[in-house]
Amino acid sequence: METGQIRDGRDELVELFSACGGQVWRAVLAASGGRREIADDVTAEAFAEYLQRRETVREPRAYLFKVAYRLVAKELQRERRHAELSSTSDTHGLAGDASVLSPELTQALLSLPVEQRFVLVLHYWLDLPASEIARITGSSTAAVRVRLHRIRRHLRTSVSEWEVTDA
Amino acid sequence: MREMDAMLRELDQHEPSFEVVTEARRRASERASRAPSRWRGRAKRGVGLAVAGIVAAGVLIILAVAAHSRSAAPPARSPNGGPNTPRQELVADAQLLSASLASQVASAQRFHPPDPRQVVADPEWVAHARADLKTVSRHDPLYPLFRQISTAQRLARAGHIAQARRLILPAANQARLYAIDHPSQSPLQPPAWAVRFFAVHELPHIASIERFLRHHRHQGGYSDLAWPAYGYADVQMPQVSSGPRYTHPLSWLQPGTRWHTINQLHLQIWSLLESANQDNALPFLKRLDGEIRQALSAVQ
Repeated sequence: METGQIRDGRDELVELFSACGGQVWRAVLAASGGRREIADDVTAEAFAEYLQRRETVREPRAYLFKVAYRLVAKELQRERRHAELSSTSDTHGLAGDASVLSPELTQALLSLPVEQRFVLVLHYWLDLPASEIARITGSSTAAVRVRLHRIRRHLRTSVSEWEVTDA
Repeated sequence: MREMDAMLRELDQHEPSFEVVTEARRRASERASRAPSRWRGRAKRGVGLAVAGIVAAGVLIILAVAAHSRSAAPPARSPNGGPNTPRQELVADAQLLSASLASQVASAQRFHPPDPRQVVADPEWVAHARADLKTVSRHDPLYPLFRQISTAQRLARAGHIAQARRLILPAANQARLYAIDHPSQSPLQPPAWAVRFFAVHELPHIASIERFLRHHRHQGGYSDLAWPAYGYADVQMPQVSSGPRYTHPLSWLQPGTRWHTINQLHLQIWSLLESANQDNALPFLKRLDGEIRQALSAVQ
C-alpha cells in the first residue's frame, strides 16, 4: 500500500524537486559551509521523508526546508561532537577544506552559527520573509529579526576585514 | 552588503545532481518495504505492560496501606503466652482505664460530699488515656469509648464526680461488652502499665480493707462493717449499680492464668460481702492479696 503510494508520488517528486529542490540543496550547502556531500545527503533525506509523509504535508516547500534545517543542524552537531572526541579542535578548518564554495564565502559562513547560516540563505538569497523563516526554523519572527540583525553586523565586520586584508 | 550579495550569488553557480531524487526514492522505498519489527512491537508492548503492572501494584500497595491504617479490623491474634498485639493492648487499655476510673469515681461518691481525692491522678494513667485517644482512628468503634474516658477523667479531676460517673459507667460496660463480642482482640497478658497500677494502687487498698475487717472481727461488731464492705464492692465493682454482673478489670485474661484466679477471688469476695459474710471474706481477701503479689512478681 505504502510502496504504491510512493510510486504514484514519483512524478510529483520530480516536479517538486525541479521547483524547490535546488533551493533546499543550496540552503543546506550554505548551512553546512559548502559541504556538497552533506547537502546531497540531507536533501535526499528530506525528500525521502516527504515521500513517506506527503499525504499529511500541506506545504511541501516549507516542510522540505524545515526537515532540511533539522537534519543539517543534527548532522553538524554530530560532526562537532565527533571532532571533540577525536581531540580535533579545528572543526572549521576541516569543514573549510571540504567546501566547494569560494574560501571567502566559506569563511564568512563558517564564522556564523548553523541556524544563522540557514537564516542568512533563506532571507538574503531566497527572499523569504521573517515570518516564514520563523515557521521553518521553529522560532518566533522577532527571534529571526534579531538573528538577521546579528548576521548583518557580523558580516559587515568580516567583509571589511577581508577588504583590508585584500588591500 | 554588496559583497554579501555577491557571495550569495555564488551559490547559484552550484547545482544539485538529479541523483538526489533517485537517492530519495531509494530511501523511501527501502523504508516502505521494511516490515515493522515484530520484536520491537513485542518489546514495546512488554515494557508497557510491565510499567502498567508496576503502577497498578504501587497503587494497590498504597491503597492497602491506607486501608490498613484506617481499618478498625484487628490484627491477627498473638499466640498464647506471646506479647499482645497493638490492638489487644488498645482493648486492654479501654477496659482497664474505664473500669479503674469507674471504681475511683464510685469511691469518691462514698463520701458526702464526694471526695475528688479518691480519683487517682496517676500521670502514666492519664498519659495512656490521651495517647490511646490520639492513636485510635475516628472510624474505630473504640474511638467514642476513649473520648468518654478522656472526658470523664477530666471531669473527675475537676471535681465533677456525678457528671464523670454518668459518662464512665456506660463506657466501662461498653468496653467489657466489646471485649466479649471480639474475643480475638482480648489480650492474653496484662499491659505493663496496668500491672504497675495494680502494684501502686490496688494492693494498698486490699490491705486496708483486710486490716479493717480483721479489726472489726476482733471487736465482734458487724454493724459498722457495712461501709467498708460495700465500699469495697462499690470501688471494685462499679457495674453493680449499673446492672451488669461484676467483672474484674483484668477479666479478659484467659482461663489458666493467675489473673483469672484473681478475677474469681474478686467475685467470691463480692458475693460474701454482699451477703454480709464479711467474716468469711477475710481469708479470700488474704488469698487475693497473695495471688496479686505473685502475679505481679511473675509479670514484672
